[in-house]
Order: sequence, then structure tokens, then C-alpha cells
Amino acid sequence: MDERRWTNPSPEPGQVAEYPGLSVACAAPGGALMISGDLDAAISALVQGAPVLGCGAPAPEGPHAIRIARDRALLVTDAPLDVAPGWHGSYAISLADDLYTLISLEGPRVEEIAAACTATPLDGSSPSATTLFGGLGAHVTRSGNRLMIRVQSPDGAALWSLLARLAGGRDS
Amino acid sequence: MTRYSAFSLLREGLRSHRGWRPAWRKARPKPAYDAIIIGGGGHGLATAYYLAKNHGMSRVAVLERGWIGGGNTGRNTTAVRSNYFYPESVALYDLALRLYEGLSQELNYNVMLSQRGMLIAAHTPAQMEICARIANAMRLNGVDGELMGAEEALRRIPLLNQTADARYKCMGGIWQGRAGVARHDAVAWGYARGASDRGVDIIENCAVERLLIEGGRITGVETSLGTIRADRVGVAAAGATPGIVAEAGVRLPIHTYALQAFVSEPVKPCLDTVLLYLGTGTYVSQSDKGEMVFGGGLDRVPTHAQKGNLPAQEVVISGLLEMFPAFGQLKLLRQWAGVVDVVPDSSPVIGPVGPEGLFINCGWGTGGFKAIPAGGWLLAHLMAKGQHHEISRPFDLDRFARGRLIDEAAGAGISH
Amino acid sequence: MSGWRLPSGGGIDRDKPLGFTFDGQTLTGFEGDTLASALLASGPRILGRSFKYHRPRGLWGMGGEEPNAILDVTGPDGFTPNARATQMRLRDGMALTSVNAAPDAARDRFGIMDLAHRFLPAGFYYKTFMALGWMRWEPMIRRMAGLGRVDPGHHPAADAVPMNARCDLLVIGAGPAGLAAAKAAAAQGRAVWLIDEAGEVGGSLRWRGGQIDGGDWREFASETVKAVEAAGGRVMTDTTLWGAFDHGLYAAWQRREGQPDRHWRIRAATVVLAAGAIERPLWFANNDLPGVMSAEAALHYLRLYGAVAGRRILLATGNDASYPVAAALAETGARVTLADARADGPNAPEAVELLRGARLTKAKGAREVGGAMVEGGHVGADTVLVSGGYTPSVHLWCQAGGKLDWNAGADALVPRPGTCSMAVAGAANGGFGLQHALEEGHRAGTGTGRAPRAATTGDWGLIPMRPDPTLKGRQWLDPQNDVTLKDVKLAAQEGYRSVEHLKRYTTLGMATDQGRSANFAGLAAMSAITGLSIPETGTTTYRPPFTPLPLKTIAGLRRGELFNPVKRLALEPQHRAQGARFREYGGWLRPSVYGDGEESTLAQAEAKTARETVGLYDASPLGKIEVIGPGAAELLDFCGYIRMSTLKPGRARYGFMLSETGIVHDDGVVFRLAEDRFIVSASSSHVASVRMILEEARQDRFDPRRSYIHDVTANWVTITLTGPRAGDLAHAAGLPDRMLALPHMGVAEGLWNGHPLRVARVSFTGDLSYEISVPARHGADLHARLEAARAAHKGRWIGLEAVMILRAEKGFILVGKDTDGLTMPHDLGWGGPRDKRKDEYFGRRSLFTPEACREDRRQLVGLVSEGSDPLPVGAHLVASDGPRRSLGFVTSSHVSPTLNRPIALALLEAGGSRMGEALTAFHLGETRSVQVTPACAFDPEGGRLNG
Repeated sequence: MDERRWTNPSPEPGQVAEYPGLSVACAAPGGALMISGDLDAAISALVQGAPVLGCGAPAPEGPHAIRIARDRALLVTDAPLDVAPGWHGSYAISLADDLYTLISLEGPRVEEIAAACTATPLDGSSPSATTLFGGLGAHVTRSGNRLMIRVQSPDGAALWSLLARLAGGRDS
Repeated sequence: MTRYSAFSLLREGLRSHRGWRPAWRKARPKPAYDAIIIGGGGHGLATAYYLAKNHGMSRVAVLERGWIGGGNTGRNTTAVRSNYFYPESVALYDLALRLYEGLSQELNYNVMLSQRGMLIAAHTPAQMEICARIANAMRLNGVDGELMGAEEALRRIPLLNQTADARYKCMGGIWQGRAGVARHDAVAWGYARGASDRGVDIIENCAVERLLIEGGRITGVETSLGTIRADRVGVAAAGATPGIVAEAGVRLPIHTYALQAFVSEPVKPCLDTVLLYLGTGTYVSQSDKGEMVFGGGLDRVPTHAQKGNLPAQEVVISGLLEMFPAFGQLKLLRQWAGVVDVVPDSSPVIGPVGPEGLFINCGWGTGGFKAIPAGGWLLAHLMAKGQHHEISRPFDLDRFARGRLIDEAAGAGISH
Repeated sequence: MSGWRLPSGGGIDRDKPLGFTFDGQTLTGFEGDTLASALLASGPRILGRSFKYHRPRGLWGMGGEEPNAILDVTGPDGFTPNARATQMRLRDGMALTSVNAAPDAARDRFGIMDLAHRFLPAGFYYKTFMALGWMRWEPMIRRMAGLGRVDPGHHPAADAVPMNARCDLLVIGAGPAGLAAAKAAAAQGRAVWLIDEAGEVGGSLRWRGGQIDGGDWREFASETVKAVEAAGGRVMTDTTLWGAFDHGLYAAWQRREGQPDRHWRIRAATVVLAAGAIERPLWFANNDLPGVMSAEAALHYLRLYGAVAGRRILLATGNDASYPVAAALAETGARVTLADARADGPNAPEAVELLRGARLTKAKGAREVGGAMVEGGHVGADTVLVSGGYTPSVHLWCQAGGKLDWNAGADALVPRPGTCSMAVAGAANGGFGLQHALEEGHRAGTGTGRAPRAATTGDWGLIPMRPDPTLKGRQWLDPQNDVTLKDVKLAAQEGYRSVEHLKRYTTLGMATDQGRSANFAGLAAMSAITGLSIPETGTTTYRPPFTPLPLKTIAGLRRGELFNPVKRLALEPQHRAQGARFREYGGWLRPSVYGDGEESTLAQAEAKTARETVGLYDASPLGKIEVIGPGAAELLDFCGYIRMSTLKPGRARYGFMLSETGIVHDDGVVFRLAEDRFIVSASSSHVASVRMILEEARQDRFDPRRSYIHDVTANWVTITLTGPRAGDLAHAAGLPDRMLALPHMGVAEGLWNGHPLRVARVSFTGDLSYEISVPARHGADLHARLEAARAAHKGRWIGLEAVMILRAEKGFILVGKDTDGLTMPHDLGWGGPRDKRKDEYFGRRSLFTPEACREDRRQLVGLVSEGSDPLPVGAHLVASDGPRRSLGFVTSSHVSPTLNRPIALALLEAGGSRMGEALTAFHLGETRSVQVTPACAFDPEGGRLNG
């Protein structure tokens, strides 16, 4: 018997899908670094003043750090930083500019769709922004009215399809 | 004992069934026995039966803290099979299957053995290669194993998902024709009746509180119904075993987890074999009453509560519907959980431990029901003769120190 | 048919008639009817047949406790087997059929089974079917078993939506107690989720009515709903709270008109259980006749649907609650006789004939009720309504771990305070009566001030009603599974006395009504037989689901592409454009071959090209786990079998990760890019587990501040070029020469066209090979550059099938394919570290057990065979003569286009000392001769590594 044909492609940066009450967009990747260790020192050195965000916390327009663990964060910038990966005295850096696909949700149904994807409160109260979103590992923050979900890029197609099913179905 | 038969059923039917006797005596404990078995589940009861039958020992007591067959024996999905990879495993499970084949006659209790066949279904070429490996191993070990192709598999299981959208396309798999299901409660009750009839005391609502050890020997047990002496004690108490033997200085590499099982409302026959699907990890069969009986992976949180939680349910149930989209018409009727005692190599631990006269048969994890006759047979042999039967020797606790694990799951890439 | 419809009254819309059929008979109901109310009002009485004896069955109840009215339904939503008529709304055009009856319920052929009932008591099948074997009888028995049928062509959509929620207070049940609790809590500003199974709030108020705080109950209810919503809470009707799980997690099934179900997972900080109680039956001879119904249900149908159960009604009871029921029925004009088993009780309701001290002993009629026997004589009736008291619905309390106590006053098992964190109120707590429910609900909702007040206090006097074993005739305890009082007696006689044994032996309580009517009777009957009290007899365990719910609700959306979705390559569109065919490998969707045609032919051709000129393949899924920090080398030395601390920066080394039992868990190359920076390339399916092993050692064994582990696999696109022309192609694509000049097992990083680039000379094929990695956003550019130069260098895209051939020719293993659960590194020829390393490393001690030191361990070898067909993978190796014992098995097998013959790898007992030996390969009964060779079949000196 033939094997399964996978017909749902990974979303492309700039791609937008409109559903009743929900707009789903795949953002163009900016820059990102995985940092572990002394996060304060790392942020000071790399992007002074970048806030460290928990789950569903509002992110500023500029650079910010999305907390993953006690000693790990994803430092998000508008464009890749010119920084050498490796050990920097008290913290470690790995290039992560393309590690994640950033998918944003906007519209009156955002909270309802999010409730179908995760049980974690998305109000910033959880110090780590990492959770399961639609069964996929994800980092969740907010930007203005939008919910920002980062999943590892190989999982982008799965999340895109799940959102299409949730938002585009008979549900309302 | 009143013999069970169509004739006696007819006869008793005409006299309002007045003649039926209790299936097993509700014994009170005597001060001493030749052997004590702790655990009144399938394995414990089978052990008592074979001690009496094979070894002529009837001054035997089975101590059960609740009602017999109330643990994993009463909570499983009833599959029986011997489609294993390592020769040691095949010898063990096929001993059980062969005993099952004659069991109803032997015990004069219909255990409703239905050898309707079992398919372990694969969906990738790599899995089919593993299936070939196992099928050949079975054959070389003298057991019926076939590598079945997709066409035959789908002919036997017509409701299997063949839509374009199916996540896993069945390529066939390992087929064992002699595998099937049996009625779990009947196995416990049948062994209890057989043992009791041969003089074994079955004592329910009797919790063992302590093992009694003197001078490096077992001398008996302390129970909620008093002290009972014996110089041979066999523990077949599944997840409770590590706790019981701990005070004798025995450490067992066992973790207990909940394993859930599910039953749908009954429908007319539409699934005629037992199926384990590698892709989803869900296994299913249809009971004679018409209910779909199914299960899947463990709740991976150590526990002794016979409960499970929602995430595992969602995984198992969605797996079933992915395999059988038409079952989306069915409703969940019952759910329950057993406590499975899991050993690092997913094979049981059978053998002497600690003080002289103490023996264990445990660690069956998710696969104990199919092995009940063999577990009983082998523990009885151990207790009666003081040494291993050749089939149980490889499963001794010392295999961990020796390094000779019998790792079916890793070896075959299949959880059993 | 004895039921009839009032000309007015009830919540149905008589202006909207709905046509439907039952077993082919055309009938009419109305908008607002359930299947049950429509059938009661206008349909035949016989709606089904019992499971074993095929006795006629009619409607009993009004909700989930209904054991008999189970139908197969074809409606606008498709086909639904085993629908409970009391819980499905009538839609126009529905076709209903009875189940487990042939040709239909009215004329079921198998009704003759009942004649043989004497010989078919509970558990009869354990006593027979042995001589010829169970399987001889099983097909026939299976065909007779089962209720409805599955429609093989109907695939209900996987569209149930899972919803997660949190709430401060969850109130289960919106009857009087639940409403009072919700109102009280909302008044304090608490966010309340008020949930009810029915289509509207009110619970029993809907048919019993009641005045609360001086007004109709509906005012109180709507005020409550408003208050709850204003305080940020939620009211959900048509929602069944079906499971209580650990840590305050509750599952609810919400049904919505014209939309998919929702599967709620609610974390509740606090819970009030106000689930009410279910009326018990009475037990008397032929109590299973169609026309015998629950009195409470009769009132329910009357008030909500204007459907009256009969015209000559006998209502038998032992409690006060039945009196208003009798009164309401008499008001319709039906002739009502109320038989109260008690000598004293309330006054006779108007127009009701009251018999005191009158126990019902028998229902009469062949297939339907035609009369009844009450102590003192015959009573003419077409309908017998009964009330045996009430059983509190304590299921969820018990699911959450709560225990029960016997309350003699309520004649019921009720929640034992302090054994569960839930609060319980109203009938669920054994307190029947409106005022009691309101007060208790108010307290449970942490209400302040005075509780809502009912107009009357309403006594609920009752006497315990029990099955009477002295009555002649069969008394049914479980009408669906055909379990009688005599069966309980038999079970006790045979020693199946514990509640669980009783249930399993007789199947009492295991029908689709989950024993709602049967369990108490069984308990009471067994208790009477054994002489133990009811609490001493015990109770069976309550488990989810509270009521049967569709599997598809729990399954949610997880189907097809949403079921274990595969990981996708960044360059998938490019590969598709090249004609790639895809397969799932290790959780990733990757090209297997490129082009149309037979797969193995294409793979052969791809491998040939790769050996002759250059092959290109996408190696992105290969793990890239960065290990960074001053402690990185030390960490890797511990976690790996081969030491990496001696590796120089700019170099790579092949290594293994073992499990604690010394078994090879994964293999892969480790790159050292700096003193304190390594990249571990785990195989694609083991990235997560390798990372876990590293992380565990990092946190538990070492100072976690000295090393950090980053899995950045997905950040990079990696394309591997392999073959003699690999370097030329890379150069032509513009890759920097200094990187292409790396020695074998060298690695370098730098910038290229303004972005990071990493090149490694590692070879999985044995040929000159470059692994080229760029950040994923530049992957398309890399692909394009290589594409531009490919043809000129006779390069070819190759899939994983070709790669597997190439590495097999070299004897390179794939962990999990060429290794199994017993394979240790020295079995693969890598015994050096085991012999030489003195330091501690993960899995070390297991490498020295007696088993690990055996001479006859299974070792990796190669095989040659005759002919042109490759050996089947999975074939076992046996001695050519002597006992047929497995010595090992074939793990990889291909036709080698390089050598123009089949090659194979195998794990073979003492393989290393059997070089040249002849053996037999056994596959499904067939045999072939083979000869043992070294694993590497091609270029064992490795000369091709440098091109």
C-alpha cells in the first residue's frame, strides 16, 4: 500500500491565513540567540535592557529575552546579531536565528483558539514561556493584540494545520 | 466438586440450581502450611493449583488481601500470545499458551479461550524488517509465526483505516494464529476452584503484614488474621511484591505505573482478531459480548493508585479512531487501570530471593495475563523442588548482575 | 401503545411536527422532543430486547439511567449506533431501529431464548462449551451478542475541539442545590462554572416545579445565571461532567447544536457536587415488562413534553415523593391508583385512588403491562409506575477518591465528609427536599447571609424498599443484561459474594446504563443473603466516564496529519521540485528516492552515481547538539564511550553513547570547534534522548554552571556532497577553498556571503564527503548554487534509500537496525575504549559483566550469498548442519551497484571468529547458503575518503 502523502506544507515567512475571527500569520524571521548561564550578564553584554518574559507576557517592539528555563533564554532581536557562538565567560551562546518559526494569532477568537491549544495560563504568570501548544513544544509571548507562538521550524507545518482546523472548522 | 457440563447445567436447571457448590472454599487460615502463596491473582492461584497437581502438595494457602483476581488479573485486556523474539521469552510464553489451550478442560471451567489470531501491524519498511526478524525467531523456536502482507492483513481486518488521509498505512506485520483472548475472571476463578478442590486453602481479606524470618530462613508470615507458619513462601503480588520483600533485604528493580484499559458499548461483531498497531501504540480486540476492549501505553507517573489520567486516555483513544475511523460511532462505556510492575528489561523476575525458602514471581509489567499458567507452573516448580525449571532460570533476579537482560522491547522495537 | 400526548403543555412546539420512523413504522413527534418522549407519546411500547433472553423491553427512565431504549439512529449527523433514546433530540426524518432483535423488537425470533432461561442462569457459559472448545460456539454467540451495529462506511469526522480552562469554583449540576451554590459564590464575586447535563438549568425543578424566595423557580434560576455571568463565570448546559482526575482536573463533554462537540479539561480550584439523585426501581415478579416505568420519569415526560405514560396507571411506592407525581398524572384525566407500601403516609391526592399498606408483587401481561398484583388483589392498569427511593449520584465524589457512608435515614450510600475536597449538596448528599437542597447548596457555595427559601419544606418520608426473595416469579435487577434476583442468590451460593465478584460473575451493572438501577439492588440483595450490612458489603469502584460518551469527543482532532505529525525539512519544496518521493524516517519526512519508477531501481542508480561522480543529499535532521562551557569536554568524556577531551579544535571524531546497561544507544560524530565548544551530531531519531542523557549528567553529576547543552538542529540546513567529484562541485558552487581543503575528519566555521557557514569532512559513505551547513534561511540559496553547478559535475540528488546502500557497503551501522537491545560497542569492533579507558563513563560497569565478557556474543559481520537476489532482512542464521538454533540475523541487505552483487550485514554469535564460515540463512521456512565476511565490503583501506 502507498505510504501517506503529506500535503500540508510548512508556512512561509509573510504567509497569512484568514479565518472567521482569527488571522494567522507566519512572521519573517529576525534574529535569535540561545543563551544559557548567567542570563543577566548575557543580556547586559548583548542587548542591554532587554526584558525577560514569561508565558504569554507582553513583549516590547525591540529585543527581548524569552525565558525557557532558570538558566536558559532565547534572545530575540530584529536581525541576527554579529556575535560569536560559544562560551563567553559566564554564559553560552548558540546561533538560533532560524531555529523557530514565529506564528502570530490575532482577532477576537485568539483566546478561544489558544485555550484549545494549551492549558497554561497565557498571562505572563508562568516564569517560563515554554509550554506545549497544540502538543508541540513552543514559547509563547504577546505583542500588542497578537499572540506570538514560536515552534521549532520542522513543526511549523503541524501548527499551521492545527490552527487551520481549529479556526476554519464549523466551530464558532 | 460438582462437575460442570452441559448435562449438569441441564440437570440443575430443572432443580432451580440448588446443587451448585461454592466454586472455592472460603477457608479460614490454619496455623501452618507446607507452602504459602502471597497474592490471590492469576499467578498466585495458578501456583497453588500446580503445587497441588504437579507436586502433590495440598497443605498450601493462598493469602489475598482483597478478593481473588481483583488486581491486574481482573483489569487487563485479556490477550494471550507468544509472539516474542528471544528464545527464553518464547519458551516462557508459549508454555503458557500451550497450557491455556488445554486449560478449560483441565480445570473444568470454561475460560473462553478464543484463538482468533493476533496481528502486530507495521506501517514502514523498517518495521516490516523487524517483523520478519521476529517471525523467523518464532519459527526457529517452534512457535507459529508468520509475516503477513498488507493485502491479507486488510482482508482480515477490513475496518482498518485505508483512507488517503490515514496516518499509518498498514503494510502487514507479524501474525500469530494461535494467539487470541481469554476471559480473565474465569482464569482466576477456574484456578481457584481447581486448587481449592485439591485441598488448597484460599483465604481472602487477609493482608500480609510481615514476613517472618529466623536464622536466614523464612518461617511464615504475619497477617491481619494472625500468624501463619510455613517454610516456603512464594510472592506473586505484582506491584506489591517489592514492598513485601523489602524487609527481607531484597531490592527489586521494579517501578509501578498505571496502565489504563477501556471498553466501548457493545456492537455486533466487526473485529475478528487481536490487533496491536505499532504506529499508534494502541491495541484492541472485540469481546464476545461485542465491546471493543482496548489500551495502549502507560501513564508514565509512578503510582499504586489503580487510576489513570486524561492525557493517556486521549492518546490511546485517538489512536484507536485513527486505526478504525468507523469506531468514531462508538461510546466509551468503562475505563479502569491496573498497577503494572515494570522491570528495566520488560521481562519478569522469577526465582529465589533473600532468605531461604522465599521465592518471587513478579515484574510482569503490562504482560502478565498471557503468562499466568506458566508463571504458576514455574513458581510451583521452584517452591516444590527448591530450584529453577529450565524455562524460568533465565528470568532469575541475578540476570541483572550477570548482564543477561532479556530486553524484548529494545530488541524488537516493540513494547509488549 | 398506551402513552399519549396532552393537547397543550410541555416544552415542545406543537406547530413544528417532526416525522420519524421506528422499525419502519412512521410516527410523528414535535420540535423539542427527545426520541424517548416522542416514542412514549405515540410509539409502540416494545423498543428493544434484553441481551440474553431477548425479552421485550420498554422505556424505563428519563436520562442516563435508561437501560432499555437503546436504538440505532440514522439522522442528519449520520449513523449512530446504541443511541440512548432519552438523551437524543428528535430531528425531522430520523430513522430509528431497535437493536439486537431480528427482524425487529416487536417480532424478535430469539424471543424463544427465554423459554430456556432455566438453563441459562448467570455464568452458565463458564460451566459448559468445554467439550468441543469455546471456539466452536463462539461465532454464534458473538452474532447474538452486541447491541447496535457499526456502519463500516461511516467515518465520523475528528472534529471535537479540546478546550482547556481554569475556574475558581466548579458547580456540577444546576438543580436547586447547584443553583444556590452558584448564586452564593457569584454574590461574592467568585468566577463560577455551572454545568448541567440537560438542555437547560433547573434539574428536577423543571418537572417538579417549586417556589423559591416567593417567586417561581425560573426567576431564581435566571437571576442565578445572570449573577454567574456578571461575576465572570460561565453557565454550560448540554454539558456532561464525566470524569474527575488527579490534581483537580475535570473532563466535560459539551454538545452544541449544529457544531462539533467540545471536550473540556477544566482545572477547578474548588468543586461543589450537586448532581442529584436517581430514582430506584421496585422489584417484583415481571418487573421488566414494557409499561413499567420510573414514576419520576413519568412526571418528567408529562411536564417537559406533555407526554403521558398511560391511561390506567398504577403507581407503587414507599415514599412521599411519589404523591405529587400521582396528583399530576390524575390531572391529565388518566385513572391513577397509588399503592403505598406504608401503612401511613400523606393524604391522598385529588382524584387518586390510594391503597395503603399495599406492596406491588407482580406485573401481569405477556409482552406489555396488562395489569398488576398488589397485596390484596388485582389492579387493572396499562402502566405501572414505581419508586423504590433515590440513589444519590456520588460517582464523581468517588472518582475523586471520596469514600461513602451508609445513611439509614436516606436509605442510601452518601459521601463521607472529609474524604474528598469536594463539597456536596442536595440530593447527591442524601438530602432530598427543596429547602434542604437550597440551604446546603448555599453553604457549599460559601454563601453569606440567609439561604434561598422554598415555599414548603416538603417532607420526604420513606421506608427502605428491597427485593423480596419470597415472591414467586423472576425479579429483574439488571434489565439490559437480564440479571435476576435468583442470579444474585446463585452467585452467593457459589461463593461470588464480594461486590466485584458478583458484578463480574452475573454481569450485573455492566450494561450501558452502568448499573444505575442495578447496582443498589445487587448490593441490597447480596447484603440480605450474606447477613452483612450494606456498607460492609461494599460498593464497586466508580470510574470515568460518568455516563457513556463518544470516543470521538475524547479523541479530539488528533487524526491524519495531526496525529504524530512528522517534522518537515526546510528544503522540502526544493526536493519536491526535484521529484523527490517522501517517507517518514525517524520522525522526519525525508526523500527516499528521486523520480518515478521502482524504488529500489532508483536507489541503485542514485548510489551508483554517488560512487562515480557526486551525490547530494539533505542531512539536516542529523542532530546538532552544542555542548558549550569549560566543563564541556569533561561532560562528553563521561557521557560518551570514546573520549572527546583529546580531540583538537577543528577536528571531528566518531563516538558512541551507551545506555546505563552498556548497550549502544546512539552513534555519531562529535565536532570540536573550540576548547569549550563541541557539536554532538546525534542520529535524527535520537536527538531528544541523547540530549536528555547529556542534560542529566550535566545537572546531576557535574556543576551545571560549567557546561550548557543547546539542541539547535533545526537552525541549520545541512547538505552533504559525497563522491569523487564532491570537492569540484563544492568549489563550483562557490564554497571557500580553505574549507574544502580540510583534512578528513576536519571541521571549520566561517562567514560566506555574509552569513555563517560550517563545513565538515565526515563521511557516511566512505567516499570524499562534505557536510555543508548554513542557517536555514540561507538553505534555499545554498541549494540554488549547488543546483547551478550540479549538472556540469554529473551530480545527482540522492535519497535516504541510496545513502543506506552506500553506508552498508562500508559496513557502517545504523543504530537500531544493525544493533539491537543487546549490542555493545565491542560487538561492533570498537573494543578499544573498553580495554583502555580507566576513567568512569556512562555504562562502563555493564561492559564487564559476565555476559558482556562472553566469547560468543553477537558481533557485526558481513555476508555474501549466491545469486543476484539480496538476502531478506530479518532472516536468521543457523548452522549449516546441526540443531536449528538461531545464531543471529540479517540486519541490512541490498544489491550493491558498486560491487554488482548483493551485500548484507548481520549480527552473528562469535561472528568475529567465523570469517569465511558457511552458514544457512533461514527466512519463513526457506533457506539459502551464506558465507561470513568482514562487515566492510568496499574499500576497506579507506582510500576513497580523499577522492
